[in-house]
Amino acid sequence: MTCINDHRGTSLIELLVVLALLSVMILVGAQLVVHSMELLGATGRAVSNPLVVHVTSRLRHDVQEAAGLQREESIWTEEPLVLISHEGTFVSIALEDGNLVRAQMAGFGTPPDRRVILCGVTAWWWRNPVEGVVDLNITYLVNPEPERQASREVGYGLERRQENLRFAIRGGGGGTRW
Amino acid sequence: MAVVVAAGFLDAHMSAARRLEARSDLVRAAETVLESVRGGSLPMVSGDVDLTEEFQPLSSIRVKTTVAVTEKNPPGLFSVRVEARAMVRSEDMVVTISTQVWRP
Repeated sequence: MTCINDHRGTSLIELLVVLALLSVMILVGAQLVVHSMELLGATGRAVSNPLVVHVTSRLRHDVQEAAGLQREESIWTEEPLVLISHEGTFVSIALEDGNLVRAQMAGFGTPPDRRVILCGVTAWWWRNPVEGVVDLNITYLVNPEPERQASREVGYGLERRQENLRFAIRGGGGGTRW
Repeated sequence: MAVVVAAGFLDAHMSAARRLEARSDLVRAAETVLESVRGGSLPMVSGDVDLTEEFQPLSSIRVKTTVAVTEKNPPGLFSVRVEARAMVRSEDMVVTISTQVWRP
């Protein structure tokens, strides 16, 4: 009588070990997918920061709708930018105590409608290099980029970000702007 | 294997983040050129535009901008096509804005 000892195939222990390893790998992979998606979303929000998008849209509208400037400056200045509309109303954009403040006046002597449109502004410059063109330069504080922020400890610092904008004045009606 | 998967995902994320930033910069560069043309700061002629003084990208890309101007009817109406282009991680990214400018 012969005794055949067949060792082919896998034992239950080996199967459990393989399953455990696979589970760990799937868990790690799933975490990475979720983390990557979160970071990608955060990057998208950082690039198109809703507040900054709103502020740049507001500035774009104000400058493009203006008929002219109260005072022209061919070199960069930190003074308030005062835009005059076709109807004779005034819009002033100025830096006050770290805030970008927009003030709208129906005319001289009338109380302005003042609103802070962006906080954490460290620098505000404007110029009009040629008649009908206004350059804006705004530096403001933002959170660091997500991929660097994710690896930092609590208490990271803010970073400066700069927006360079150029708009053409078009509110004069007719003319050569459109 | 987990390390390879992790590296793949992180690289994909970095690449996507760079493309988002670059696209934002390209849109702003194209707008700067268009507003320069509209405001009269740039002449109404086709060609490459150097934006070194007017525009600094937020990301570390090198933006190349070109403007193509076509005269249309009635006289004084121009079709303007602005193209901003940059290489982002060996991929060519282009943003184009087409509009019309009235310059009687």
